Amino acid sequence: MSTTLASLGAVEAGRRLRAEGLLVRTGPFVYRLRADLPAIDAHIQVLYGRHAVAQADDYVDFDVAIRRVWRPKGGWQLAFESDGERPFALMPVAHANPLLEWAMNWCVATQVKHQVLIHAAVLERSGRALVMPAPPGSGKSTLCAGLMLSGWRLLTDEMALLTMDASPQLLPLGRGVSLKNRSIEVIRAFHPGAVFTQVTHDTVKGSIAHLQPLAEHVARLDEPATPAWVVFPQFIADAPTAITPLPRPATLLDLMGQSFNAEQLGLPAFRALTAMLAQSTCHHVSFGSLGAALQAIDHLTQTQAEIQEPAHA
Amino acid sequence: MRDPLLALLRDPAPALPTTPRAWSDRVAEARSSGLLPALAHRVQGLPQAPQAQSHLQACLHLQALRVGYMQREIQHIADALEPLGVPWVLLKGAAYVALDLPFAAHRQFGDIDLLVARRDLRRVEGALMAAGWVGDKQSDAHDERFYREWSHEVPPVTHVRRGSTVDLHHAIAPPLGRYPVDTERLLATAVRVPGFQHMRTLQPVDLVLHSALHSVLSGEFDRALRDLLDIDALIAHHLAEDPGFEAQLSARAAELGLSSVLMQMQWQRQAQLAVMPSHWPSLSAWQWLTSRLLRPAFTVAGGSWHPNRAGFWRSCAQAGLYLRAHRLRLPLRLLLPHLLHKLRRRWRDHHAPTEATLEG
Repeated sequence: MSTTLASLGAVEAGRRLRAEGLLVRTGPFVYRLRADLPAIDAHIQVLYGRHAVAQADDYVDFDVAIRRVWRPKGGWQLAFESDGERPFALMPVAHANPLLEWAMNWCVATQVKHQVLIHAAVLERSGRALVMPAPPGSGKSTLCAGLMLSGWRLLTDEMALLTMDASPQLLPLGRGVSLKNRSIEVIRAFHPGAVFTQVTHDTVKGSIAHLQPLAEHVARLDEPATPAWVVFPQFIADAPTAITPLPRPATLLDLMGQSFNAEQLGLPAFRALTAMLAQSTCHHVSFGSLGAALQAIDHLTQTQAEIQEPAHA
Repeated sequence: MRDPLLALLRDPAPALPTTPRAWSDRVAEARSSGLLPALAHRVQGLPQAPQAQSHLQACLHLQALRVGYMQREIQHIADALEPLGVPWVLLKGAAYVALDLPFAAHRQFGDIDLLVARRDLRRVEGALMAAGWVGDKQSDAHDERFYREWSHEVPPVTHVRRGSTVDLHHAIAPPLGRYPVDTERLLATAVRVPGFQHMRTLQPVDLVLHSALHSVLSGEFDRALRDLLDIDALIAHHLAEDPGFEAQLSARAAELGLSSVLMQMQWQRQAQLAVMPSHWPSLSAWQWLTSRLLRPAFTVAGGSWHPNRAGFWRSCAQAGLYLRAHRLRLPLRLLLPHLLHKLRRRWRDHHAPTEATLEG
């Protein structure tokens, strides 16, 4: 059994963050994290406390350092540095937590070329995966959090990793669920026991907090899932629930549009996406509340399961 | 050789990393040094940490696509420029691809560099624009003046649909700088690319000298090792066909006033790559002395580029050579106002994380 971050102890974790780097394993990747900010210590304990800490001679996929820098006009600010590069503009010290998460996303989005990356949430039930690609503002993360808290296993909230082989699988990334503005209250009300990181206000995306992934999901980060449902969610305030089947060719184009690297990878990515769609049903779901959305997803995945079963027999 | 990435690139089998962590260090160093495709190619088929293998395999796949992309872009540029009926020269990466040089398949490419005679500049710019390559609208009056009057290139243009960037040069070095090379002399000996009427590449000796000059004038060390390996591969490739190649190289360097630049590169081949040049350029006593004094700085500053490999003396050498590169590109009376303007603009956009640099 590998060491978890929590069993390492907050003191040792803090020391590593300020020295050689804390090696956190999330799904298939190891991050080397470095930062000297109390806010980040707390953030990491909440979101990655149950994650494994990699050994000193394990492979490190990504380098993430959050550094304080001083600017004559802006005073102290934060810079994200990866392998000596600074890909982002500087950010206020108060935005340390979302900056760390965005930095970790950036590493995957720009450096992973051996899996298809889709901007999508992925959850699993009985080995079958629900893929929810969506542009920002669609209510995807809120729905993802709701599903995670009602029996679905969370693989990823923001970045789906699809392997590129004959029967493509979805790999868990196992990070927190990023919730914005009103969604934070919606999920707190939905599940009073949900654990969040501290809320960061006034970021470019408004107020942000991250929901802790459930311990039993983090324990299964090496278990992939088989794609079964593709659902494009869309929140429309007070609108009635509407479930619309989508044709596969149009869904393929939409998935390509939500992918960070499919166009760049060319044929193998195209093959993986078509193979995924060949074994999935595709729907657009618009909903007016979290409850209605959960009901719709339940309906879709239950009926599909019933329809599929005779075919297998 | 104390540079583990370089050792791995030169002779992989004995230098293979022994732990997965060492593999990830080499991959990170190669990525920062613009040498990831080269590393992926060199260690292909050798035992690797599985995670390194997935990153490197993916890199080989992308590299094959990028070479094809570069070939298609060259064809697109040819479609735009051939009808003009004036000679146009592909430089650096694009030239290596057009010439189908063996190392081009594993070289990381940047923008596409073109060289044309100054008198053809307007027409070529117009033809590129008509074909979809447009400039960045953000450049201000100072930038325009900098590019048009002091620099050896015009502001880069990017294709509206395909996103490829073309850097159009009318000289290979700033005409007011320390190494003004007469473009006419390069065009006179440029080689026509088979299958095209007006597309050219520099003649082999000039390919080497341009790469060396570019490396010295850029002053940026994140691509220094890649440039040195390019130069070494070019020389080795031509030396195999013509044992007198390095003697011709020295003679051409003397003609173009680039002997000290070539000397520095030959010394670096010797120091970093353990290659013994078969012919040395001839320098005046003064040139030799100044070049010899700079040699340790180039040696310390060179090699793979990654924060893991930074150190006090290395940073000093790199900063010194970076400042020197600015001096070589512009005389002080123009350099100081230019840097002041850049600093003022940087102060205004204080949050911009970029350094004040002299592009080109």
